[in-house]
Amino acid sequence: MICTGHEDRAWHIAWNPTKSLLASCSADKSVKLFTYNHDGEGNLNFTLATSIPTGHLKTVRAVAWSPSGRTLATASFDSNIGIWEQELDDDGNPGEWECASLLEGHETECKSVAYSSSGNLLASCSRDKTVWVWEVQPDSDFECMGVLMEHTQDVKCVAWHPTEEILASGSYDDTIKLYVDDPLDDWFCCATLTGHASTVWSISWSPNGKYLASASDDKTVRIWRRIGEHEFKCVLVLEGHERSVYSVSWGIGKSNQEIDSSLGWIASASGDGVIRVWDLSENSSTESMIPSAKLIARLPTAHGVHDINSVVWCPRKGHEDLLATSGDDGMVKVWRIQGT
Amino acid sequence: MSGEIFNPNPTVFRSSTKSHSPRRLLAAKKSLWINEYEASQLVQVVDDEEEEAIDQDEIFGAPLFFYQIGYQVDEFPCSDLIKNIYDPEHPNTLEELHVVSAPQIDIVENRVEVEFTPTVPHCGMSTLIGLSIRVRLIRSLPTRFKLDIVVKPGSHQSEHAVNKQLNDKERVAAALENPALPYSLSYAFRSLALNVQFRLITPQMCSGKNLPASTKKLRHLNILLPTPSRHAWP
Repeated sequence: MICTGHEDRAWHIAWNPTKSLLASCSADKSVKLFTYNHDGEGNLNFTLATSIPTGHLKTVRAVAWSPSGRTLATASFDSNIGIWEQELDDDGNPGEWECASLLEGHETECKSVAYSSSGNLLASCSRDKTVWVWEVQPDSDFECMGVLMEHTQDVKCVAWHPTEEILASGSYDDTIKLYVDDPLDDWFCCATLTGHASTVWSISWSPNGKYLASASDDKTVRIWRRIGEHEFKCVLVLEGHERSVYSVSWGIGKSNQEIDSSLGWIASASGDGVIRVWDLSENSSTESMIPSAKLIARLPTAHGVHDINSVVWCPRKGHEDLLATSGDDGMVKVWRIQGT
Repeated sequence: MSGEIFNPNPTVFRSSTKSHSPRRLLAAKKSLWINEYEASQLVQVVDDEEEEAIDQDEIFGAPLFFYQIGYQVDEFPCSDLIKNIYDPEHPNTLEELHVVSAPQIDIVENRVEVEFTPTVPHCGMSTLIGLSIRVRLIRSLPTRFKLDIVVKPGSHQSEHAVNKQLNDKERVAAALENPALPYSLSYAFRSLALNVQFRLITPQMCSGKNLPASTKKLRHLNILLPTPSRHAWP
């Protein structure tokens, strides 16, 4: 399934959690929204619903939906975060996507943006080495709750825990940092995860929140297990990619949902053009901390000769086997992982 | 960018071209760095290995074929890819300053690694030089090539930092959106208007043995590629 392409490198994609919408963003400064529906024969059809010019002055690097699916956030190299909502026309029907708010504060390129699971908080990060936590208020108002200056370099990605208010960030300084709110004080860094030998490009929490996966320029994906409230330990290193791993996504998967030990599926995408999919499960028989990972799919040249910049599992019920990718060819592609 | 000159007195070497030594030719065969004379030498080598007649149709269809096997038959005249890039702080090319040389370019399948040697270990222009090389190759090579640009091990005090920045595609992409950069690059590339030859030798071509039959027309390379012209560039 191939969605229409962008005119330039497609950086990132995000599935709407509640509606049949897939958003993608690109160096061409636009955001494209695709709708999908069943054609009655078991196939999904994707069509371009709208293209938002955004008005960002530079590359749109990342997109994120709020949990309600009504708001879209964009992170741009122009150092701003855009907040987008669909206007209602006079008859109450959904109309154009309008910029409801522009969050200024970062000094240089914004690299990533993410909504917390409750939708009450938004995080953003930038090459200015900072991570900002914003409180989402009524009427598209945002208040900055904290500026976290923990990384020593460019911050590449932010990701919220699936249920708790724990934020993770990955950086060009090769580390991952975790942050929580002190009820009596400000947000603070509660843990630093070291182990990657180069830039951490992408982070994804496991659906159950007990693990974290990180993708790195060192060509590996690391799996970190939460062993204390604010304590994490690297338990597994997934190897195989031949160039930088730019993106990792941890989804529920479809094969073993009924089995307790299943941890879901991890997809990784790389500059080598390959998508890898692993089935992860806990070793319930032993006391081992180490989950087992089985490579269940390997898609070479997924975007032809081009780098793959982003890979994301569809979070919607019934579509857990759908994977969207975006690449340097400007294309957005959707893949279904066949049963194993 | 500060006005500081990192290396006020660089050693300038004479352009080292037109060597007859087999070793030099070998290096040339592996590189993106090749001039007219060497290309003709190389073609000669291929020629010697296989003799095959070529007809007009093959010549006619050849440019597309060249593109497919790695030649960029550009509508704009291009020059030798790297050697004529100008140093940011001296009126000399990277070749003249021995910042890059043919043996420092390595091509394995679709991966191109270019190593360069900053003139001084504290050269603050290294990232700009590396970026010039990267941009030149991005713009010229078919997209299937993956590029790695690195400073020569031990040649720069911030070797790791320079390498990391040059090979971070996001940083490179952001740099290219910086309004000041195109000016720097047009300075680095200013010689290109006068040099119209463009050569790219792929590994397949170099071996000469694994080539499909139609590749034998390569020996007519000099005829098929655009004729040098000083007027082709406005």
